[in-house]
Parts: sequence; structure tokens; C-alpha cells
Amino acid sequence: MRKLLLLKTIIDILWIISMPILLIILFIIPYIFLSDDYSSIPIKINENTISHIDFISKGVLSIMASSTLLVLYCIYLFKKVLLLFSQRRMFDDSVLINLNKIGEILIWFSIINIIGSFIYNLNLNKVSFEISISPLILTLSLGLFFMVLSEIFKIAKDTKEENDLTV
Amino acid sequence: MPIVINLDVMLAKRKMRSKELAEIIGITTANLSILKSGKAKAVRFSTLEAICKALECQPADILEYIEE
Repeated sequence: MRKLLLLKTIIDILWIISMPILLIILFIIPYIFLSDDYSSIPIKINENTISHIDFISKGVLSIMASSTLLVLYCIYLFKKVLLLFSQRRMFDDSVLINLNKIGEILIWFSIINIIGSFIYNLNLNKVSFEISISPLILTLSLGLFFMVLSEIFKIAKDTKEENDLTV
Repeated sequence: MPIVINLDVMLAKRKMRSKELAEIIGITTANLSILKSGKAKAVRFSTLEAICKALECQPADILEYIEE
């Protein structure tokens, strides 16, 4: 269980570090809408450096910036799951629900960012075809992995229950 | 579940208490209670064998199939 303790510590530190990011995002969203000059603060979202944007791009970028809040929520849920693990409540219903929720949120985060990036680039006529392992595809896979993990935990929970009721 | 456990009937016939049977067959009273109440999902052959030996009966005296 030392590995779990290490992971829990890392996630706890990550959660504490994430708090200023929350404030930055809450500052960035109104900034995107109110300002037209982006030279003072360089903004880079998903490898797109923001220089000058119109109203559609503003909307897309603020949605993409807001989607980062989803990742923060995922970290919070993961923190809760690890806490339950450390309490030896591996097969608690909350674990199954939270793992599934983390998966769904990561998938939504990826979809929002993929579509957002596409619309932003389309708006700037910068559409290009690229074959590479995108971090968003990895996030999407991670989301699916969490959902599969939730299903596996459900099977394990049922097996444990059956084992407990074997006389 | 269509499998009914008639353990309490056999216990009454043999005038034996659950606690006594649990001690003889070496399982906890809580597990025996699970078996008696029909909440058990499975019974090990070793447990069934011990119960039959203690109550001097056949598995069919304890387990019964009733169609739902």
C-alpha cells in the first residue's frame, strides 16, 4: 500500500497546485470576452497561440478554457477514490460511480477540446491534416479506460458479494 | 430463489440448536444464519457434507427445488 500512499500524496499536491489554476481560468474567461488585444498576456490553448480573435473564436476559447474546470473536478473525484482505497473500501458504490464519472468527464473534455480546436482553426482558415498521437486522443482513451475500470470493479464487487455469501 | 433450504426443519427434527450445529460443522453462526435464511448464493460441498454428517440426513433433506 506504499504505492497508494505515494499516488495519494501526488494527487493531493496536484489538487493544491490546481487551486490557483481555478482562479486563473475564472479570470481568463471574462478577459477573453472583454479584451481585443492579446499581445499583453500570451494565451496558448491546445498548441494554438491566441493573437487576435473574433466573437466566434472568443466563444470557442472560453468554452475550451471552462473545460479545464472539468479536469479539476476529475482530480477531485480521483482524490475521493484514492481516499476510499486508503480506507480499504475498494468495492464501495462511490468508487464505481466516481470512476465512471471520471471517465465520462474526460471523454467530454476531449470531445469539447477536439471540436473547439477544429472550430477555432476553421475560423482562422488554418485547417490542416496531421497524423500524430494527440494528447486529446490519449485523454479520450484514458476516459474510456476509467469507464472500463468502473465496469471491472462492478464485476469484482459482485464476485466479492457472491464469495461473502458462500457458506 | 427456487432452491429452498429446509435446515431449520431438520434442526427441529433432530432437536438441535443452530449454535450447536455451527460449532460441530465449524462455521460461524452468522454464516449458518445466512444459509438458513436462504440468502446464501452457494454452499460448499464440504459444508454440505458436514451438515449431513451432523444431522444424519441426505442433501435432499436440506435442499429442495420449488418451481417459481
